[in-house]
Amino acid sequence: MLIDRRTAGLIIASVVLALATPALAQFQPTRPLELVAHNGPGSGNDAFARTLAALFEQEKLVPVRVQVVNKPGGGSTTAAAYMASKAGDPNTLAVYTNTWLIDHLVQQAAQVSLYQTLTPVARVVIEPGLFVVRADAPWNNLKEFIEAAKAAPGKLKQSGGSITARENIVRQLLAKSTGANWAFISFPSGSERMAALLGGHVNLMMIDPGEGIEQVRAGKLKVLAQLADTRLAAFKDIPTVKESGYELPKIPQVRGVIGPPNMPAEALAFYEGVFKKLAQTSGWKKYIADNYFEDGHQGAAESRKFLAEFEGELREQLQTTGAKIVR
Amino acid sequence: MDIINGLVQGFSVALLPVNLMWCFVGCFLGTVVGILPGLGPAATIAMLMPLTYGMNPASGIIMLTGIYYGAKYGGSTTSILLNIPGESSSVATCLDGYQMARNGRAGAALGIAAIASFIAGTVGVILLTLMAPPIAQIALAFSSPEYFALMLLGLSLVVLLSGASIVKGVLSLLIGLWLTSIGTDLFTAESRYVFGQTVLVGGIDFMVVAIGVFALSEVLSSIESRDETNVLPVPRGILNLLPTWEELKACRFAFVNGSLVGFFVGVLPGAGSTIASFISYGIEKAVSKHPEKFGTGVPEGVAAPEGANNADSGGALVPLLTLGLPGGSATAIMLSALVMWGVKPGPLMMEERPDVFWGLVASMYIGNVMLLVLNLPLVPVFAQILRVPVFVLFPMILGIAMVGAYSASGRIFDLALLAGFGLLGYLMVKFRYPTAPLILGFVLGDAMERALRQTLMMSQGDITTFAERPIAAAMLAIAVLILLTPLLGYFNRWRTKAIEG
Amino acid sequence: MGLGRDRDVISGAVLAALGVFILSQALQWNFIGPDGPGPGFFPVGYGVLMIVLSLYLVVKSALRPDPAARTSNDWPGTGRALATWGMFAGSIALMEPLGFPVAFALLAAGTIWLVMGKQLWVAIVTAVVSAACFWMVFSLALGLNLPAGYAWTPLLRMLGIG
Repeated sequence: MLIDRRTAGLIIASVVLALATPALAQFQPTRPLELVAHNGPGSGNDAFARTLAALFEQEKLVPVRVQVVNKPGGGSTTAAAYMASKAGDPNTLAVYTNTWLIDHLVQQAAQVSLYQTLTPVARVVIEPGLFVVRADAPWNNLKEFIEAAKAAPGKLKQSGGSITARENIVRQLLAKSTGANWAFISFPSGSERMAALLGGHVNLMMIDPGEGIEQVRAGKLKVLAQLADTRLAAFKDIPTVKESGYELPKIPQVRGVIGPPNMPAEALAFYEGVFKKLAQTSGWKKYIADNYFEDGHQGAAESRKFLAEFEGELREQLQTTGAKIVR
Repeated sequence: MDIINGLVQGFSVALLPVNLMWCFVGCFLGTVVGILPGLGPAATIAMLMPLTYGMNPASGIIMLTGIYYGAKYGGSTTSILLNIPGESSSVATCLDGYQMARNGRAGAALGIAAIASFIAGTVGVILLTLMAPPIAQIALAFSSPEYFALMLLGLSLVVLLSGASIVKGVLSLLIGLWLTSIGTDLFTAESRYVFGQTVLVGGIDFMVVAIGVFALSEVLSSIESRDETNVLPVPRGILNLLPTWEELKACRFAFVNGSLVGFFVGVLPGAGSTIASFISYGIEKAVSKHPEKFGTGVPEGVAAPEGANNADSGGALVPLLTLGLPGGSATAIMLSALVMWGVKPGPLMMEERPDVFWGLVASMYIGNVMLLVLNLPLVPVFAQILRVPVFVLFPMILGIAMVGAYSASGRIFDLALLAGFGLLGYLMVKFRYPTAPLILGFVLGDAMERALRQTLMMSQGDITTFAERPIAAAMLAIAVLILLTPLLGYFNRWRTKAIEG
Repeated sequence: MGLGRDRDVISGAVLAALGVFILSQALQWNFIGPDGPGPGFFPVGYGVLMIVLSLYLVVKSALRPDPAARTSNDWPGTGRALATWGMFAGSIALMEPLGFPVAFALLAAGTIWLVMGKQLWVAIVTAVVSAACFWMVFSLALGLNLPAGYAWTPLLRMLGIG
């Protein structure tokens, strides 16, 4: 069977056209979108990535399947290295948190810079924090706790994660400005931190609101103060740290989305638009409310600027925690 | 009687045909991912969670939980047949399970694993039914000093696990302790023993070590001794594929031991089923009349860890449902699923959503029966795998080992580590070092170091804190006693000699 | 040469060296800090214990060789095992460019043919069939991201699949 020259010419022309069109028109992903989470299934970050994936599909924001890929290891180091290896790929995104900035500052091996090497796409949410103690504890506000810590240096204890985590930075800043001193005990999982508090083995913990709300509702824990700019709707009666009489620099806990190095401009514009649209959907608003997050939406350029500034602030604040800064 | 009312309500939910179906689907999927290495229960639950968005919460959590405990039933299969642990919690099952298979008792080992899983799984659910809120309070009394004592108790079992030479056993343990330190220190963010490698900053995955040291080194040793025909004899006749009455009778204590240890360790948010299975195995060996036979294929060496591994499922649900505290990654996803449905796990869940709480508990009774019925007929089928000629079986084992090690993190580097640990395991066997202590050290070392440092930070360096806490003190005393037994042996031998001389 | 009683001497010496390495690193880290034990606390402990026990092992077996350990080594068998290991390591090195199915098929064919002494065609058929089964079960049915191999990307792109 032979094809005459004209038909062949038509086929070639249409193939060329088909190949050229996507570059001219707006970018649309054609392969499944990979959404990288820097820890395993079951972590808060994995849950966040899976929620994004589900909302993308529910709200038809992307025309392809979204696949959550877990790249755990070394805080964010493995995931960041994986993203760096995907230069120019328009089908891979990752969810970042403060950890990505911090690891780069304190880990020699974490060479990937979040905003210099990789391509910031959007900042998505800001997580407030709550200072909680056991309901039967003698302190009813942050001031009383800090005064008690001053009276018995080193006797009171706070449970938390890594020493580079926000809760320890906040503790160091509070301790420094007030002269109080209480211990910080690291536990690897949120459950262990909370169990230590509920069991009375430590006295204080700083939590995400979603993490401890049930304990507060059941009358097992009470909230001393909230770390947020303005009082959260769900905690109207709880003073902020500032209202409690303590000035702290801004230390937001952020989650956002990052692309690989040299992400094509059209692809970046497309995903930036996706997150802009996402912020308006009812599914997203419900998720934000259910988890007591603040909407922290910022576009690509804005979030890059934010990350650069925030890294500088973190570098300063981390020095107070005693962590070794390598960059 | 609140509990009876609750159970009645629970069964009225769980016995609805639609919930029975989802329970079966969950158990079936769990069995499949348990048997196949590579896809763990946590990853499976995370993948299937979106499918349950539209379900009612009781059906959804019944299915997801079915995957969770179903996977533990299936996990023992490859441990016994191929010396490849399917999940980290079935590593301890390799020790005697694979040896039973080598003795021609593969079917019996699989059968005992299924029966132990059923008994202990059911006991775990019964304890969950009867005493969830009070036991959660006991779990909260457990803190770093108690965890340290528990881990030390576990490590003292090395004395029992080490076979002929205690010195070599302890050296093997120390290698495990070192390997588990590799990575970032939680307390100071200091990198330890990473050799400047980014890939090591997160530490080494347990499955990579276990598969390398057990499965890969076993293949190399078998190739060395050149077993031309089938290495593992499979007897003909269906009766020879089932456990004998004597074998089951030998497991009587193991069933009880596995059930209780698994449940109570499972309740602790900081321990987990891998630790539970090793401790149960150690206790079984410690009380046995013939401890020297452990590791050569004794049925109770399969029943105890397998039982503990499954009783752990019931235990792990206690803090999840009554405190909202998940102990591991699979339960953490179940927590986020519950939150998504608007069910709030925590102190108020039993009152506010009794349908979900009791429906789930009741479904686990049903699910355990389903799993037994599903798994027992599979025993003779799986035992046939061993009839596959060696020249096909060995490459298959190598391939499964690769998939199992790779899928944990998706890094080629982990395969290179797997090769390294395979060689290490082979050399250890060649130089007559026991490998089980290395695995034990790897499992417990990290948690033990953490607990000790937390304890001393909390007490401001005062070690008398251990003496002031009765649970910790009791466990430490037992651990020291176990550690001293070999010295007692030396003393006895010296005394006999002295008297005879 | 048999490995005989040298077994304990050799392995003890190696472990003593490892212990010295562990200790030398651990001493660079904080042993006890202001808040409690530091990152060096534990490694110093097991490092010292490792050196002591391994030296004890060396001395003991040098002075009083254990007659039970005096079995000679099966060198041809060791060669077979190490050859298998070499092929396993080689297959892992090839996995990134060639992908799991091809690298695994090469490993399977190599071990069946060279180590187990089967005929070449048996080895090739078994290897291809088992590689295909693995790919179907784990990659297609379970959806695991096994490496597909970047060497094939141009080829697949030419065929319009990639």
